[in-house]
Amino acid sequence: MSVEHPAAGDGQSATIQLSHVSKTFSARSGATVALEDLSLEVRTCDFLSVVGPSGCGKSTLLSLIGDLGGDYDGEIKVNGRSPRKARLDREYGIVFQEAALLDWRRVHENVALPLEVMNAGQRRRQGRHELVDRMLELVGLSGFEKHYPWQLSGGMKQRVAIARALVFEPDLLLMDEPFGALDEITRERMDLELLRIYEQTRTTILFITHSIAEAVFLSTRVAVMSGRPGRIVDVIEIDLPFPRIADTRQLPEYFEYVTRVRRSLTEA
Amino acid sequence: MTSAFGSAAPLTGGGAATSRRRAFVFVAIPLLFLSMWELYKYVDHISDYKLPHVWRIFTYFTTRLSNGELAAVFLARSAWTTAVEALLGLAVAIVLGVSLALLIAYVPKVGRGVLPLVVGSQAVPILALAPPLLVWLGTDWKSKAIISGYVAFFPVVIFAVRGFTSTKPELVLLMRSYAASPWSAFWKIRFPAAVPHLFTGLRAAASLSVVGAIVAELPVGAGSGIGVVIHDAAQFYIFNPPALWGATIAAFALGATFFAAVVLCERLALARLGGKH
Repeated sequence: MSVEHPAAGDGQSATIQLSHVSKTFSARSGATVALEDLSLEVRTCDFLSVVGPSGCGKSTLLSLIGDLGGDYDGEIKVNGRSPRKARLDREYGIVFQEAALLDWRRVHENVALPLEVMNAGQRRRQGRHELVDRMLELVGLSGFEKHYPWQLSGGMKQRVAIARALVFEPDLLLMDEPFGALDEITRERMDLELLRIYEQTRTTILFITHSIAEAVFLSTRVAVMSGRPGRIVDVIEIDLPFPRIADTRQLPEYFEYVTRVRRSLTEA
Repeated sequence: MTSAFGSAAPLTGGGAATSRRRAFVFVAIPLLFLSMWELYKYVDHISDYKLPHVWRIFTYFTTRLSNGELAAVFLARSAWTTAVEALLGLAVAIVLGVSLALLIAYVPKVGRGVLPLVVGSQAVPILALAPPLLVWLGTDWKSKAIISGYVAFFPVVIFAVRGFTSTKPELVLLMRSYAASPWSAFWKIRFPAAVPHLFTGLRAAASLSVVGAIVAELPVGAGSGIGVVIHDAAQFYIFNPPALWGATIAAFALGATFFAAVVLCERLALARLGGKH
């Protein structure tokens, strides 16, 4: 099948590489193995979704990649560096399930936060404004600059969170169930928006979800995870054409992929 | 349905009606209190040297004192002295309270040892500490500011700790993902998130700082201030009860003013921080 892949021609270099990664949480009551001997590769311009049951360690995986989750065994490389180095070099943007906006800042001030923190001292204010405006346009929030987070719907808050994650133009976007708290209708709309953003920015995306349908619809590849201890049981290439539109969900191939992912999950 | 429409009416014409109702309550509650005072006096035959008539207390403000000064002016002058001391005390409470809260929130190992001392400090009656402090620091504003601050700092610590530790975990992770410096994480995230809590502590501290300043004025009986007036008036209470009640009203007014000032600052600060609150 011929696929208009956004990554076409970019080569297939790895943005994230995990080899034999294990993570154990030790508590007084005993140790819990969250991840065991997990290997995975996210290629440049991949939209890779990790799908698995609740508590299988998907979020732990993401936090290790982002150097937000403490020690681990094995090796993780982000853009060829340790996660810590990659974090200090601000190589990724992150979006959580909670939009985690600052209630006391207007939308445009929320989006500008990383620029302020990363200082940006060199970057002129003018440029900062343009960048923020461009991001708000990208996520479809032009005209809402002056709103406060409490004036926005759940979907709009996540749009702000996405704009904030992309405003400093990282090559990698980590998303931890970003639409998990939204209703079905809003969620499907956000999926389309995210695809548009992906196709427009060509950012590599690592997306955590527990929705099989969402994983298949969005991704170029889906990694299926089993729980307790967490490991990758299957990685499925999703050869659905780009640009993906609402009708993509009607394609027979789409259903086949959904079935395949579901089978991998149940067999795991 | 009826309730939905019923609530619509006061919403549309509500502005003036609500403020009128608020003003009514503002007047009615004190009036009720004063009537009960008089009723109790009447029913239980309380003589005037024990509990004076309400109007005698109010007319006291217009009487001339032995030096020819109007009582109201004298009380205002005394209240001013106390106000300055209490304001300094409040500043001490804020600096001390917020510093301790930062220690407790950011250096938990040390903080765990500090917290029991903070709690314990509230069990020590200030009347036991005031005399040695006055001997040590002298009877000028320094000792009064410190005693006032000591009385007022406790709620500042408690609410500031809650504020500094109430940051959403995602926001902490977010700042970490930006490789933000602790300094910028504090000013961008922790401090603004703590501001509403800080003001809750300040509201309580505002009135306490006035109490502290008054108590600090009591032991010596020299100089000026509401505490001095209370001290003197208490000694001659049965000869002139309204003098003590007048001083009490002045103290009440001072405490209420401090509280109102904090509430005003709070409104201004929170309006700057997003307007919803």
